Amino acid sequence: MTFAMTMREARRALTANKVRTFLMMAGVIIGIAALTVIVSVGQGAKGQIMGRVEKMFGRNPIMVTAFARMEGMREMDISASTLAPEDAQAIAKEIANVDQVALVQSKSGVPVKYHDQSITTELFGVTPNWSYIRMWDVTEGEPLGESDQSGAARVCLLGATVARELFGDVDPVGETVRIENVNFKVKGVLVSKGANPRGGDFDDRLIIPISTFSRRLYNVTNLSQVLALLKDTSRMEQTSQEVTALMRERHQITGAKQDDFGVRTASSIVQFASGTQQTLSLFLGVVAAISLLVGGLVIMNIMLVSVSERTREIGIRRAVGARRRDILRQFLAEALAVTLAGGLFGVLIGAGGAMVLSAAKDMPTTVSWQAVAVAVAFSTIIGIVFGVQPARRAARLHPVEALRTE
Amino acid sequence: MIIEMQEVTRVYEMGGQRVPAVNGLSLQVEAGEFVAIVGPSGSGKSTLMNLLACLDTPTSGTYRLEGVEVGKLDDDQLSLVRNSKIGLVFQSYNLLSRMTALENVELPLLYGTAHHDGKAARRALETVGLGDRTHYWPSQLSGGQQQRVAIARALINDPAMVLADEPTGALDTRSGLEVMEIFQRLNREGRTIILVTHEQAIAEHARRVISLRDGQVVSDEPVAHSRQAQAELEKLPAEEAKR
Repeated sequence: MTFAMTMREARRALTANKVRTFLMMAGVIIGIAALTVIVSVGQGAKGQIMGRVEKMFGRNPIMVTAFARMEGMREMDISASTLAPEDAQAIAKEIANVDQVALVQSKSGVPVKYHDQSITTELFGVTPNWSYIRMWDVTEGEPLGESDQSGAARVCLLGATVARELFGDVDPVGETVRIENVNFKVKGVLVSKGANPRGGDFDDRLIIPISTFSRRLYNVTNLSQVLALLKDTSRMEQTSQEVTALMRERHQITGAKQDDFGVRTASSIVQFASGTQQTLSLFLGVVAAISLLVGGLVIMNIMLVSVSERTREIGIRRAVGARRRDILRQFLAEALAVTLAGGLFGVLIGAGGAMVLSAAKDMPTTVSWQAVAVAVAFSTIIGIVFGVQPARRAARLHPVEALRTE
Repeated sequence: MIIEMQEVTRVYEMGGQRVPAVNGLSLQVEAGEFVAIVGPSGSGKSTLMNLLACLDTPTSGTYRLEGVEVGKLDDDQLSLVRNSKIGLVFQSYNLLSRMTALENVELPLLYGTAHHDGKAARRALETVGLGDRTHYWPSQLSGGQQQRVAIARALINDPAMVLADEPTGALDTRSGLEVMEIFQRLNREGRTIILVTHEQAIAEHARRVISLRDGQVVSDEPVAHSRQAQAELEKLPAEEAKR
């Protein structure tokens, strides 16, 4: 019996009792719909993470932060730092996959004044390639240049929040602000990046040349962070392990001793922050598992009823030459037709649900071929697992006994 | 020789007791014969029928169908024998209600190896006079018509023999005679027919009658003057056309 014939037979049997067929499908529909939403949300989150990585961290550098503090976002008091400029040079020189490094010093709670306006913010001293690696341009004015670095110029870039709070509607470029009571000329205003992954404000900051930071303001050489730009970001994991190994060696940290630095990748930080999707996926995963299990048991149950109702039909088919395996195949095909049809409806409903979720909850979702593949795979598995027992019972019936049944 | 049974016994277990429904039975049928098997209920007719139809296998003894010993075949091979060598007709028609007449006739083709030109089922229905009912559901057909669909199904794979188990048992006189007329016509064309019945009048349409009692053959005689269904039909009082 050909596949087409088998499926035609299955369709005939299933359309004969539509209510029953729908009941068989219901669990699979719900389960597959939930699975589709999970996959779509997962895929959407992945896309969103990559987008966020670029928006927040530019060219996805490996970030080596002094002390193994959380997520590298809150740079600490650098006077306690053990991260030296020589570490940065070593990373740039000895790790083959590192293209270049940007050096960062930072201090929080720094007072800044413009006329009678006074605020405190986080101050960063950076090398000129920082804006390239972080992909962080200025909206007005100019970025920091090599001459600013070599001359330890007293120039600064304002984060969007700082610009708004100090200047309001006034154009800050060319104006003078006082940082730690030293006059700085505003060279530019940074593009706004909004909230950082920990809920803080990316735009509440001031950027000055690192030479100015270390020589004119604070007289420190230690760094708070090194940004290492990779030649090949697909080898991110491996390279960050190399960096860790190199740093442990340089800092003479052996065995179980705690690192005095942290190596983070932008993607790991953003991923860590996307906990909502994980909660939703877990919840839907439970829904999917229960629905598919219950749906499968309903299918098995109804199939068993169907087999005993159709005992005579089985006898007739055996009498005209159906082999055991033909009967087995017929009932398995029915179970599979039910689960695959249920899977199809489930994908459609799940895709719809994912779009509604996107619109209502501002959660990005991507309905892709992966979702369909997962649906087909699970539908097939459920069909076979729960269909095989009724099908085997049907195939084992003795033709004489089966024909005797009313 | 189509059928050759030697000392065939079929024993059933019933409440711990071994009951031989067919007991050391020997039987031979040549190609082209029309045989009626008769006997009271409990005589072993149905069991013999199941054995002949390869739905069941003997507990002991040998049954050769066209020279092949059925008892040595596995389940798949038995299925193939049923499909290709035997056409079965039942008392209760045994059509599948969700299939049209034509699809019912085609059912054995699903499980066979032979290739057909797609018109075989239609031709088989024409043979039994139902060429105009191909797309009727069984429920739309009279009992006699349903039985004729079943005969068409039995003929579809050009079997070595047609086995009919009480084929007229559920039919009125006219429909029953119409069915017998078809069997007689098929037999005249060379088809081997084996008919199981408990009605003497029906059995007399055959050319040879075998009587069973207690699972054994008690008589095996040719019928000197077979009843002719065609002639009987013509003698029936005229009535509203049943077709």
